[in-house]
Amino acid sequence: MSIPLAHIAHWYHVLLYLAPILVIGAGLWWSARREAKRERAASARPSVSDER
Amino acid sequence: MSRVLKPSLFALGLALAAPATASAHGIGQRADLPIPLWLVAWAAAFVLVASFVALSVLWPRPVLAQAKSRLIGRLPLALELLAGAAGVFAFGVIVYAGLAGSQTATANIAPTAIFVLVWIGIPFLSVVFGDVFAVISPWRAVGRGVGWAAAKLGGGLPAPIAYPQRLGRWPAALMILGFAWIELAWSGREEPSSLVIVALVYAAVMLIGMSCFGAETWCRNADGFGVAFGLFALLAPLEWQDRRCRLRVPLVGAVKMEQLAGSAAVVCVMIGSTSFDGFSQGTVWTGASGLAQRLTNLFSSLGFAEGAAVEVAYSVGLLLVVGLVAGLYRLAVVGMNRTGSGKPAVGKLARSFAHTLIPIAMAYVVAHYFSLLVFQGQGIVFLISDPLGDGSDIFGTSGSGIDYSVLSANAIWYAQVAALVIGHVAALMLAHDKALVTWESPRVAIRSQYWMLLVMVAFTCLGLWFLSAAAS
Repeated sequence: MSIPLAHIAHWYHVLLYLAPILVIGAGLWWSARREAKRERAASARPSVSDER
Repeated sequence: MSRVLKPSLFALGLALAAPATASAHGIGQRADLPIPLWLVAWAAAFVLVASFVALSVLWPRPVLAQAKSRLIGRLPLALELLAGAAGVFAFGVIVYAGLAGSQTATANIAPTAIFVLVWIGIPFLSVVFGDVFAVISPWRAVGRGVGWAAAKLGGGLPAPIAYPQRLGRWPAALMILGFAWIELAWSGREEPSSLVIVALVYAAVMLIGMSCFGAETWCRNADGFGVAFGLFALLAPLEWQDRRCRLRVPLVGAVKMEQLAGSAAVVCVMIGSTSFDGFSQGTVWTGASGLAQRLTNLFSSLGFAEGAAVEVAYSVGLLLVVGLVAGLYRLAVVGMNRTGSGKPAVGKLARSFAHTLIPIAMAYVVAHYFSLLVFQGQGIVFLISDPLGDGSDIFGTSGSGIDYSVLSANAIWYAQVAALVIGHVAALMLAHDKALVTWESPRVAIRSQYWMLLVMVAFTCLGLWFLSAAAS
């Protein structure tokens, strides 16, 4: 099945409406992953009382 | 990385630099827009992200549930009775006109009264003045009148049957879906007599339901119109209870929505049916090789008659769009559940966050029907003088017409976009406040709303795309 590139003008604008969702979704996913990583690092770090 | 990034940036640059083919398909042909509609979708998404960040920083504690209201007056009993009687009288006129009048949809008052004044006009009134439909609902007025008369004359009616709690508002969701099907898929909608026969059947179902389960319980759960308009009324600055009128901050009423089964379904059906109404007017659906034609051909090849194949195609389209909206909401809820370590359960979260969809439903109503109400609503001026379409001129206004210059295309467009953005920001506020109530840790609450933000952005872009599709 070939991609209907000849009719791109009829459907490419759909991608323009989809793009903000994808961009924000990617941003939120990255942010959530970074937060989770930071929390894991914080819980793995020994507390002051443990060191004593 | 650069292998992916470079072509992506090139494609994005090409899209941004391209002459506005999109606007040729968008609303730009009717209105002289400063920017194409897809760019508005980007701007709206930015507004939502900025609102989300602002809420996270400036709104650290739940406040909406504690918002106070102030008693400002009381509705006299006589006025309530009069409004109920007016509702019954108007229903009678509509039914009579539909059965005895002209069968041309535009000449008879019934289709305009049902599809424009009631279905679109009452949400607009509800969001300003509160639950007006509860006062003018003809079946509720009759049900309460019968109860009152029975109490006065014969010692009252037998005790109602207990309403099954697990049904919740699912009957109302089905009623609204049924009405949307009539409006968007049924070929008989053009015929006033068929339309009012359905209205009579609906009224009969309401009366039977009220006699079994009690007027208030039935209207609160199973009357599609009563439930839908009641939900819009939760956004209003006026709150009515036992004829007492209280003033409150707009929007806070939504927090008090009863968390019943099927509440989310009601709002999803409302958003989905409005979306499909917009989408089904565009070329993606109606074009020569559009989805409607393809589905109709498919059902014709399966043995459906031509008219039935069209109805089934539109029914499938309606169900798919309602399913899409419900699926997006489900995605947000499942995402919230996972972020909150599986607590509360998905079903409970779906019920407790359902009120956040009400502003979106209202935004979709404004975006899709605002111009219809303003233009076709004027039709009532001449239809009220000639409700049967038989040439009569009761109030001397049958010669009036519709003034299309009352609103410019640009003004309509700005109202549509503003409604979508304001509705979604309001929904984010409600969701943020509810998350702070649901999760003890503000950090978890904010993170849980990542999913809601994404779904709100999706709803906004979907709404704008449907607007663009409707105008193409």
